Amino acid sequence: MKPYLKLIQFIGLIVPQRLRADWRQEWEAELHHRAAQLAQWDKLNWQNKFDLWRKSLGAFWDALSLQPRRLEDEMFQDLRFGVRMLWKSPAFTLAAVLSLVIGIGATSAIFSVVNGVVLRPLPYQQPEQLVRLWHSKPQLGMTQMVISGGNVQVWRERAQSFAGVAAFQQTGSVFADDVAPEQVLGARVSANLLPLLGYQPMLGRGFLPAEEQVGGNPVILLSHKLWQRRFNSDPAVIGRTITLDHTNHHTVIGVMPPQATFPGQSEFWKPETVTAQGRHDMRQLNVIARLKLGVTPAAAEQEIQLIHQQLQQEMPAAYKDWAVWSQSLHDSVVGKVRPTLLMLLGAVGFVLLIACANVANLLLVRAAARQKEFALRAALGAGRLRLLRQMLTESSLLAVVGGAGGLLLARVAVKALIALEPPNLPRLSQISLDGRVLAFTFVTTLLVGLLFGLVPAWQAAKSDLNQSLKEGFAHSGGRRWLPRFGLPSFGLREALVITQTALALVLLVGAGLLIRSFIKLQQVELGFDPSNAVVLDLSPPFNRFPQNADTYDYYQRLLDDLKTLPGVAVVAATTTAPTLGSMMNSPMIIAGRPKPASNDAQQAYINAVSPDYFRAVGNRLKQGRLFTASDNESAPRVVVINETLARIYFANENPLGQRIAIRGEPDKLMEIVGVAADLKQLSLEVENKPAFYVPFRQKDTAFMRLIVRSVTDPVALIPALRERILAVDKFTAITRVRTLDELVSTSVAQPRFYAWLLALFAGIALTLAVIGIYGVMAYAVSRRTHEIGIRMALGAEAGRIQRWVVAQGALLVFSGIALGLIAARLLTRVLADLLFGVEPTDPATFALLALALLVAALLACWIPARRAARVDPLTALRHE
Amino acid sequence: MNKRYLSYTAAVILQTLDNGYQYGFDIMDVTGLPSGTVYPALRRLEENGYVKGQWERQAIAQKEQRPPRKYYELTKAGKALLAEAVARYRLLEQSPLATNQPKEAE
Repeated sequence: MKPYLKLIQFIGLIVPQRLRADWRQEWEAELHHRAAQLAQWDKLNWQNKFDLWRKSLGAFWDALSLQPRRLEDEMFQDLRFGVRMLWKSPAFTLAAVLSLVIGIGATSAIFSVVNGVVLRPLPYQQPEQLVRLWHSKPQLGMTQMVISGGNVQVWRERAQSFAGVAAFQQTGSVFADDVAPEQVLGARVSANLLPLLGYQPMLGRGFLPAEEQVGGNPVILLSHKLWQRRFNSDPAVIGRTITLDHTNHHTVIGVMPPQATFPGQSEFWKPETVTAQGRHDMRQLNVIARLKLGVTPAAAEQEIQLIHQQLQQEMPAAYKDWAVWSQSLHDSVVGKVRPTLLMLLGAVGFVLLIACANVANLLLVRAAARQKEFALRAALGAGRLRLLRQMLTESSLLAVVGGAGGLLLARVAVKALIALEPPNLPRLSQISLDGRVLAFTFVTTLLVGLLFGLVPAWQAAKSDLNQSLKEGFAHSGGRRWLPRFGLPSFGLREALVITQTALALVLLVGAGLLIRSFIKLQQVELGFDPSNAVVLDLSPPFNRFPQNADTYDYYQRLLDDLKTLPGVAVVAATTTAPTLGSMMNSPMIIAGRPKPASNDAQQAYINAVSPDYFRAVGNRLKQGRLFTASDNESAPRVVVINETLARIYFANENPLGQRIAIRGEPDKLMEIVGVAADLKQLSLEVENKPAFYVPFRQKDTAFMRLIVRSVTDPVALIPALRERILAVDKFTAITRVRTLDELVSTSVAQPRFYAWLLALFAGIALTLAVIGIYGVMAYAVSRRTHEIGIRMALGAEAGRIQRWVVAQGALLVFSGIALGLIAARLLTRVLADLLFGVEPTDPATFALLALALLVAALLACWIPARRAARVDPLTALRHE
Repeated sequence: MNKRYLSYTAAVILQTLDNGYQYGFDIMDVTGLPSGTVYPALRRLEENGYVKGQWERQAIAQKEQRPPRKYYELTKAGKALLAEAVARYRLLEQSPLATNQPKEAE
């Protein structure tokens, strides 16, 4: 054959098979023709020959130009083949896809939370220019303190960094027009606050600066929601006068668009008048400022520090101990949850990694089982690259199916998460599967496909063709372990199992710590009995009670009336309820001792209660007596203190008979008549603070809650209670009804939520890891059936074989646990802020979970070990 | 291939085919383009339906004792495209190609 024709034959190798025959014939014909032409004109001298050669090389470029089509063809081939292979082994496919769906789904779900809460910009106009300004008292550890009106004025006058300084206070009011009375949350805001955030009224107008003045015309802006709910979306509401809290008349000047709910979930806005009063000693305002264009937050911070120094010189009394600082609005909203969310994202990333390791392992096992197929294909001329591509196509296929499933799972999970209303998680409404989450899932899927696909693909592609064919396939890779009952050589598969075990242990320990902390929290001595009690928050029509006596009388009537309701055991009135914090917090004076030096010393919580309060919440008296009905406004002032107060201030003396007073009312000394057990006034993880109780008739108390202890289920009583309360005074708004059980459960809701979530992740991780260990051990055993048979034929006992297999697995598990313990020791410190009563390095938790993992993992090894021990030597020896 | 981006090379090849040259080698000879350009261009044109390749009858090849050859013809779409291209590449009309006469058919 002519040499140029050979060249064509050769080049034709890279032409897609489908086109190759045609391609070769065309080129041969052309070159043949050219040769004939040249031969006619002249004998084929070397010049002509060279020309022919040169022309033939054009065939190469032609062949190259056909390459994309070849890739296209083969990709489809690979894909078709891949689908067929996956379809053929449904158990494998299901296991792999499920692992991926869980891994990718969980990761995407948590990422969408991180995205919605932390990454997305706040829904205000140019939110990056918004900063929160705070006062602080560093020496007392109080960082986020509100600001005085006078200071706001000073900033407005002197600060050059800000385009605007706005202030707000959250508030609540009772709306009682037309429809049933209802407590509504709203805010008092400076006139510039809503425009500063980028909100314009949908109807009517916004506030005018003049309306910030004290005694200005009372005006109100309604939220879209409130306008719909209470005013039937009636545009004519503008200009109407409505009554708030049964007494104050306000003119509606506008309705805000639906997206305006700042701060929190506000439903109305009134002008704040604190700034206009200009006082420097009363700190009441939350402050937001907008940076001027081009001013950096650092420059603004510098300027407010400078102004603060001026203020400290001008008004030392008001500013001496105070510091000032600024923070981006974004940080002030999400700063607290960011570390927790990133921790969760990390945890769920671990789950994904474990899932990947599992799938990689499954693929490795399969690749080993398919060695014959690959060897055959290689022998038939498939290149290494081609085989690699085939494997990668299959793993990408798995990843894509897993990714699609994961996205569906994430959708469900996100909906479930939002429905659960994670406690203290801001911006819940902004969590959704948006483009960024989709992109995240897509990239994760691709990476995951590459990650777990490349490893086995590489292994398969580099496997030695000759070896595989010679060994008759059954024992290829059989020299993974040393011949005697020795150590396994640590291959990829083993490394993956060790990593999985380690990751799972980290998650288990993390979850374990949170659960222990949650249990500790549940074991906290409450000091009250949360069962069978309900708390009713009231907003009575105070405008109808001009005198204190009228208020006392109103509450007394309520108490007397509700007591007679069947099913009610005890009724009491109180300014606050357990776990809800305190209404009043004041320094106290102890008769016969020097006055406390500063405002912050001798602080105590004060609670005004009706005599039955202690019985209603189930609190015990430790010493002395409780209040009686005769401890009223005309009787001598008395007080009941809690144990902590007694311990701190009356350590070595009998508190009974001592007299104390609130610092602001030094002449109103009260005699201590009793000591009550401590009860959790703040949330459960906070230590008990000094506190005292006063009879409500000896204190100017307005807002009281009712606590009703019932004989049976308190929830069943609620409708009857409502009815009775309205019967006593029909203008009373019942703003909130909760059982004491609910209050306790709310106060532990956040730790419970995170413990639960992390436990879920850890459970998944443990399951996946155990499956991984089982898979590797089962595979190892099935691969070595022949060898086990020989050993048994030579006299090895079943028990020994079993121990041997378990030992092999145990080695992997131990390595994984050791690695996991080290990793956990380094990583659990991110949990420190979430833990109560448990150290992040709590040895008991570490040990217990390592043990649990060990047991689960050894169990996973034991099943294949038992199978190995049952091998029948005769069958095994025939097994080739 | 989008006809808006018809390359000069492709236009020249279409023009050559229109002038009656049917074989790859003829095109190379007439245009002076290397084979590594002509063939890929022909394939793209064929893929887009502007030219159509056909195998000559086996009998002819056998008679001449050579492999059967593939010849290319302009399709209707190809003719239309060429007309457009000529309008765009004015030079085509003045190029020596335009006046070359087809060789005698073999």
